[in-house]
Formats: sequence, C-alpha cells, structure tokens
Amino acid sequence: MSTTTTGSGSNINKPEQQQKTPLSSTTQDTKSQQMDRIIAPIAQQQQQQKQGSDKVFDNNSYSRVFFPKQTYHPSELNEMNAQNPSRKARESRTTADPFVALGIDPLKEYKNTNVLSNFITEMGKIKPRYKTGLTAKSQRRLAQAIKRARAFGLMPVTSKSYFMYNYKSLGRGGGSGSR
Amino acid sequence: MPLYELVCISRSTITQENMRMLLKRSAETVLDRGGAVRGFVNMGRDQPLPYRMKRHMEYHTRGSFWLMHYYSNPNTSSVLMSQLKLDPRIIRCNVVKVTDKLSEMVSVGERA
Repeated sequence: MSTTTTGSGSNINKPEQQQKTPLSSTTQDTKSQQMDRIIAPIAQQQQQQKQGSDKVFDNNSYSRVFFPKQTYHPSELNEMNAQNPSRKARESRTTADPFVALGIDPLKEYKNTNVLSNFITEMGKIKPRYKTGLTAKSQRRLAQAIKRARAFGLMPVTSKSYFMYNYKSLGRGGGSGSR
Repeated sequence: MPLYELVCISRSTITQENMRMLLKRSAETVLDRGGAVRGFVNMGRDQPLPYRMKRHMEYHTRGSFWLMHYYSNPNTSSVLMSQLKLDPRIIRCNVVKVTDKLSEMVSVGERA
C-alpha cells in the first residue's frame, strides 16, 4: 500500500461519483433523461460497428435455404454458412473417373472382383452412374465386366464379396473368408 | 492367332494328380490343333463358390479356379469348350478372347 498524494486521492473519488449519478433516483433528471444517458453510449457503439465493418450479420445477408430433413448444428449459424454452398465445388470433377485417370479398360478387370465390388451395393446391385461418378463409356464397360464376373462364377450376385484375391498361387487349400 | 483366356472352375474334391491330368488334357486339346499354350494361372484351390452351382447332376459349393492362356484359331476354342463341358471334373468354364493385336499380346502380363 503506497501513500497517495492529495491530487491522486481526489481522482479516486470522481469515477465513483460518475457511476452513481445515472442510477440514482435522487437526482433532478427525469426518467427519460436517465434512460438516454444509459442508452446513448451503447447506441453510439452499435452505429460505429455498422459503419466500420463490411460483414453485417442481419436478415438481408443470410440467404441460406434449409431443406427438409436437413440437419444443422447451432455452431453452423454464422457468416461463413450464410450462403448456400456454391455449385463450383461440384462442377470440378472431370477426372474423378478412376479408369480414365489410370488408363484401364474396366472390361479387362472382370476377374478383379475386389475392384468391381467398389461399384456395387451391399445387395450386389450395380450402382447407377450418378453414384459411381464414371463416364458413360466406363460405366457401360464396368457393367459388362460385373455381369461377366457373375456369369463366370467369380462374383456373387446378391451380395458383396470381401475376399482378398491373390493372383499368385495361394497354395493348396488356400483362401479363407467368404467370397 | 488371337490370344484366348479360359476361365475354369473345377471340382475341389479331385486329387492333385487328377487335376494335373485335367490341365494336361485341356492343353493337349489346343496343341493338337496347331495352337500354343502360354501358361496356366492358379486363382485358388478349394475356394468357396460365390453361389451354389449345379453341374453334372450335382450341387457344388466349393471349387478350384484356374486360367489357361493360349493362342489358337477360333474353331479350337469351341472344340475345347465342348470337350470340357462334358468332363465331370469341371463345374464351369468360359473362354474370353483377350486380344487380336500383336502389340497388345506382348504387353499383357502373366497375371492377366
């Protein structure tokens, strides 16, 4: 505790006095004047914020549309997610076709049931093109490969096989697991 | 001569010696008609089949998978197929033409 001079001592009292006056009901100010004194600095602050920042989070800028059965977390309600996701992200999928990217003819991979299993559902049905993301040519060839594998007895028809194929000889009595 | 691929499923209950005879006989069928056998590939001895198959008045749930690569004229393929289908040791057999072109034949490896 340091000793204070009279000058600083008088300063200590002043803030306390300033705080007391708006809340006090014993002053000569009317109620509206008291309210103004409270609201004025806050209103000034808000105005400054509006003028200062460009990203205003009000009803006009929030254009995201919510669809039925769509879920969201309260933390998603912010300026970043104010707009619906742009279509540009979806359109850049030109070389998403693995067969084109690797230069493989799907029909030559009819024995490769592991690879073909990626393009069938759990029920063993061939996935449509909008699910696989393949080009039309690849999808046709792939479908043909799957049908060939089924006919040759290499791939199951009503299910999906998870068996690991080893092309080198598995030896006598090889293989465990379901095909 | 085009390169063919015979995809065959044979019974898993036959002995090793019997299997050897089967492979030999299928190779001889090609060779006798002026063809050439490139090789065999074992895709698994005694594997469970993807679904139950009926052949030669029997149901099968397990089989041995093997391939034979050979060069021959187109007639030989049909003869080979008809011969193998009569054989009770074989559950299912199919022939696929791999390629006609020489450049592709060279690049196709053993695994394919």
